[in-house]
Formats: sequence, structure tokens, C-alpha cells
Amino acid sequence: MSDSEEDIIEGSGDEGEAMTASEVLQKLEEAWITERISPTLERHQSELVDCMLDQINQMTENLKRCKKHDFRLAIHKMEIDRIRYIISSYLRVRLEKIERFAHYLLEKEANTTEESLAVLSPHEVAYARDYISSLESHFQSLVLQHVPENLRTFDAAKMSVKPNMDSYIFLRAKQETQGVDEEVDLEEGSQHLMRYKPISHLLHSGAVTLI
Amino acid sequence: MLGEKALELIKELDRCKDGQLPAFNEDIIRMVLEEMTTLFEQNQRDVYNRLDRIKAMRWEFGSILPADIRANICEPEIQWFNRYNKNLASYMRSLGEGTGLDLTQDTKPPKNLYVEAT
Repeated sequence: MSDSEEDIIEGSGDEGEAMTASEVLQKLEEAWITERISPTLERHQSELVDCMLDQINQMTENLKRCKKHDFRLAIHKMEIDRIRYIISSYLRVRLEKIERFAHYLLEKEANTTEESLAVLSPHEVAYARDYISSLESHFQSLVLQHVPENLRTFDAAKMSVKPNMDSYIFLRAKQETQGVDEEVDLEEGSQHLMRYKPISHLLHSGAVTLI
Repeated sequence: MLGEKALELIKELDRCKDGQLPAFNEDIIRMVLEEMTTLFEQNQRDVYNRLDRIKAMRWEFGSILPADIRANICEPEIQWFNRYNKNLASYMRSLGEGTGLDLTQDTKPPKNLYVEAT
């Protein structure tokens, strides 16, 4: 870990407590793995992303001041590449899901009042809206104006895909939880193959992690 | 065959002499209308699947499409591509509180990803 990564960062924790950069990175890695496995889009982690992007930008600046043959240069550069890959991959997986489930996610977003439960970040909301509207106007110009009037409505709901919340995922219990899905007791450290839906709240509370 | 049922209806009417009328064939009419809806939905899916491919090309080739692909897509598709491009660009610019991140880069893990020095 570089010096800059050990700096204390404020305001990224759940209750606003300070986190170190390596803690932020660890959380982001966990979010990345979860996002790749989960059948649906998980809550956005823009704060972690922005924080880590800021970190690697600072690290890159610092490297410019290093002497050319400093042995730390290569190690720091590797670390920067690694973090940038994780962030990009994480955001790419999210964009893919946002495009696929755009309609479903926006509908869900409209019913979410509490900000901390938001699945989409404000920028992602803007992205999803423009994406849907671009599909609509494309169909309008290409298809709908050439068909009989009774068919001339764009049914976005018909074209939208919903995530399969019943798909099975592997998980590891981080803490003991009883009566999951009405019958299963999870022992700390145990691994299970279960449906996503009954365990999604445990994922959000941090009681289990996807593997 | 598509349109066969509709043709059948026309032939049926045609075969009838002037001054006569074949019975209103409700079943066939319903089938023809269903066929129209199915075709329309299929057509929508086709249009959508093409956009999916065009989208993948934005990630592969960047914001300018190769000439041979441009030759095979229609004007509304070019417009859609440009709009997709613009939306993606402004999203990527917004990342990192405005410093931006190009998500079309870093598509493969760096070689050292799993041998982190501790």
C-alpha cells in the first residue's frame, strides 16, 4: 500500500465514520464481486468509486514527482492499474445491467424515497432515461410511423427485461443467521447455494457475501 | 406460410358469384390479426437486436464506426448510434466527480492482478 492510500478519508462510511483508503478499496472490491454475480443491479456505490478515482489520480500525480529509477515506481503503477481496472470493470457491469433492465430499474427508482436505498446513482438515472428515450425515438422513426395506427404505440414495458430474482447464487455467511427462506440456518463461515430473492436483504445488511 | 390465411379469405370472397356473400369467417379473421401482432412484435425485436450489435461496436471500435459497417446501417441507426455515443460520453465524463473515466479502456485485468505484493 502506498502512503497516499493510508490517508484517512472522511464521510464514506455508513454512519459517516472515517475509512482508510484500503478499507474503501476493500469495500469496492466486494461490491465489484457482488455486482458480477448478482442477477439484479445492486445499490450504487458512487462514493466509493469517486473516492478511489480521486486516490488513483493523486497517486498518479505523486508518481510524476518520483525519480525515474525509483523501484517503487513500478509497484505503484501496478497498483494504480489494478484499481483502475476494478473500477472500470465494476462500472461496465453496472452499465450493462442498467441498459438491459432500464425500464424496470427506473420504475423501481421512482418508488424509492430514501436516498441510501437508491440502486441507481443520479448520473445512472440520467443515463437510463436517455437510453430508453433513444430506443423509443428509434422505433418511432423506423417502425411505428409505417404501421397501422392501432399498432402505433411503443410499449416500453413489453420490450423491457426484468432480472431473474429467483436465480441461484453461491453465498458465504459472514455472521450466523437463522430461519433464512423460512427454513435454513446459516452458520458463520458456511457456504450455501440459494435463490437470490430470500437472501437479498442479508446481502444488503452485510450478513452474507456472494462467492 | 405467412399471409396465407389472409389470401384464403380473399380467394373465398373471389370465388363467390356477384350478389352472393360468403359467411363471415371469424376464426380466420382472428388468426390474421394475431399473425399481424406476432409479426409486429418480431419486427420490434429484430430492430432491437440490431441496436444491440451497433451498441457493441461502440465499445469495440470507439465513437467512429468503420466504413464497411456504416455502409450497412440505415440513417435512423446512425442517429441512434450517435445518441448512444453522446449519452455514454457524458456518463463517463461525470465519473470521479467530473474528472471522468474512459470505461472502454482497461477491459482486461492487468497481468499482476492476482499476485498483489503484500
